[in-house]
Amino acid sequence: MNIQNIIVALIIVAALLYVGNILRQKVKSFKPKDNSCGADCGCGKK
Amino acid sequence: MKTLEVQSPKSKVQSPDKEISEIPNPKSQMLIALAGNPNAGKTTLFNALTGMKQKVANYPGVTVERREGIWKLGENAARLIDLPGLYSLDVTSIDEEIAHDVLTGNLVNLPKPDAVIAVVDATNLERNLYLVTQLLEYNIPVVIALTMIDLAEKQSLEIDTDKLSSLLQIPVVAVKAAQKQGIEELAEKTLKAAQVHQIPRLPWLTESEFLETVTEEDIHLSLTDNAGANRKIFARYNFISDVYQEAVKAVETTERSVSEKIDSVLTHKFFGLVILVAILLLVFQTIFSWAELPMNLLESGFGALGELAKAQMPAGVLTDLLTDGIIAGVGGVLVFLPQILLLFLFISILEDTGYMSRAAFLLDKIMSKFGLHGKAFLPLMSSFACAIPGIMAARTIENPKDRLATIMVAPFMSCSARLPVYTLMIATFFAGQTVFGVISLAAVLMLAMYALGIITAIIVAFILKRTLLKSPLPPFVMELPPYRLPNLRNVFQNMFNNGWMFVKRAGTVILAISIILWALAYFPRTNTEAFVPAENASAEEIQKAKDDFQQSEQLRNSYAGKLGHLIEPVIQPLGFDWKIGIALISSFAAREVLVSTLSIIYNVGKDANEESETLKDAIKNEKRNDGTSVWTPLTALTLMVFFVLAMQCMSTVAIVRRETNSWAWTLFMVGYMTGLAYLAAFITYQGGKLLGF
Repeated sequence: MNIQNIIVALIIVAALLYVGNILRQKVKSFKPKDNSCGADCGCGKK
Repeated sequence: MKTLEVQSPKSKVQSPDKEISEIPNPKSQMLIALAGNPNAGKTTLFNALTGMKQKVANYPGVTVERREGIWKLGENAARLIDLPGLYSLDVTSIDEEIAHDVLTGNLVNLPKPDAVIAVVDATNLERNLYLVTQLLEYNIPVVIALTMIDLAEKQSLEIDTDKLSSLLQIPVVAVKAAQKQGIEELAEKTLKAAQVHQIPRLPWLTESEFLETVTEEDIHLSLTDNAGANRKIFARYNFISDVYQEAVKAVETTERSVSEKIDSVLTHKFFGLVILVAILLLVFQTIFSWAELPMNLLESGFGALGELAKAQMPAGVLTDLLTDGIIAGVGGVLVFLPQILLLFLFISILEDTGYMSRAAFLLDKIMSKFGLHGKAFLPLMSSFACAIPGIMAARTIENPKDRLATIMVAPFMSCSARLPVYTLMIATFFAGQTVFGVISLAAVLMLAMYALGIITAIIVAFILKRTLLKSPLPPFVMELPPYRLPNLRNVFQNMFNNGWMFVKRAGTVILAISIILWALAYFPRTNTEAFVPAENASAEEIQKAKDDFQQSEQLRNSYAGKLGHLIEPVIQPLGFDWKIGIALISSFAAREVLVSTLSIIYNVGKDANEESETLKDAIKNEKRNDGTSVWTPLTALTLMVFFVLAMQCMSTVAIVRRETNSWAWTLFMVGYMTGLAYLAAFITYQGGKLLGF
């Protein structure tokens, strides 16, 4: 395997991880926060 | 700029009269809240005090998120928190509730403020003072920042700030935030007010009420206890009326103000709409003509960059990724930057002059007939930039059903991510054509796409409000701010902020998706031994035919190609082939990804030795196996219609889930929007074919 293939493989993995992380963050934002006011409006009310 | 985090337990409420110079720790730093009516100049003042960038607009209710910054008060620094725009603190909407919670120290990680700066619009003093009278009941020192003094003077209003201050028993400072006038005095008086902690004695409060702080229970009690609430309301208005008569001298004038004269034309029920359409046409026409040169330059620049990379780097997979994946994908989107900048330039000018509020007033008349709440206009208007702030702005709507109806239709507004798709299609197939010999067809089509989104939103809201979300419409009063010259700093700041967001997105999400898409189109590698050269062809022709064969076979057998073929039967009735199918699938992550995907799958700028082929040329030259063109003007129109209506944005889906707290409504929105998009695209394509296009 030449150096170009290794670099490309690393770049593709990095891109996949980046997109995966964004998706993970989106999914995380779906979960209601513990300190929400019930309506999960993001107001942060106790 | 940061949005407040409210994760950790509530900090201890600090003593209001604590010396701030003793508290360098940010957690125990002095906290000052900025409150005021919508459109009173609160956001402009926030920017001037903190030096932070924030969107500044001229229509009511622009501040929907709570924001915080550091305000340098001489040697000290204070946390400055920007509250949502409020007319009162009656806690009937989410925004009012947030402000009330901040003022009572009822939010985690946020103590009760040490002082409140009430931003008061001098041209609407009586109405603005109502909020001030409510703020005074919170047992927090209040300082008035009087804005729009110059406009008040133009309206022949003479305000005696000293008298106003002595009557209200609180400091009053006239400020011109944009010119940074009065800022130092405001800092000095706010610091002093917070340290001295002097609360004026309010005539409508009883002795016991004065001694106690207003609590959350009091507010809710006052809303249910009609006699007590009414007594306070009347007492407040009497007090305001007395203060106004003492402190303000209005010079009688028989002449109608310039704003009123302009409004009689611009808000006219017929001519107003004609002027609105004309202004939008002019804006779109200008965007197309002004953006042409810089777009062409960017296109050539990226083409040259690709050629340079290909010439300088050794042939191989890395070079292919760089030229065909990264430069083609990201560059394909970045060439639309001039249009994005121009769009936001015009939007900012229209907002800053006050015209956007008139447009809201005109469209509100129509929208309310179809059951949309008057306050829905701001969220819908914000959605033209991006649906996410638009959906969040729906928090200002008190009724949950009206709010939900607004959220459900907000993504129909054509956001800036759709602009690259529209312009690519229009520039490829409709550029240079005119309607009635004068108006550019490109501008008309662009306006038609925006109008299609608005009309669909109104129809869907009409249906939702009569079926799933039935509720009576509350009355709505809209404020029309006076016309003023746009503040160029605000206009350019807004334009560059939005431009930067576009570039940032291209450099992050679009870049990552482009790399993945390139990999999906590049692998697995196809063996081209099956290529049979024509007998009489020259060596050059054989090489070109071999390259074309290899490229087409490679894409066909790649992972992306297989995915495209999988959905081809579904999209064929819309006139789309499997390659467009790949672009459609990828655009469900983000709409503008369509452009980068097309650049990658059409292998734009594939050969360094040939004249670089632009994406527009590649689209026009794309042929089916039978030799017919894949793309026609009708296909382009169908694709645009699909993009107006389809729900293709991961971030919007996430925010809808968060704001509605319901998977059912989120999935309903994704389903009905995409279904509607398919149906409309089907009707457009098949109808167009029947009509002979």
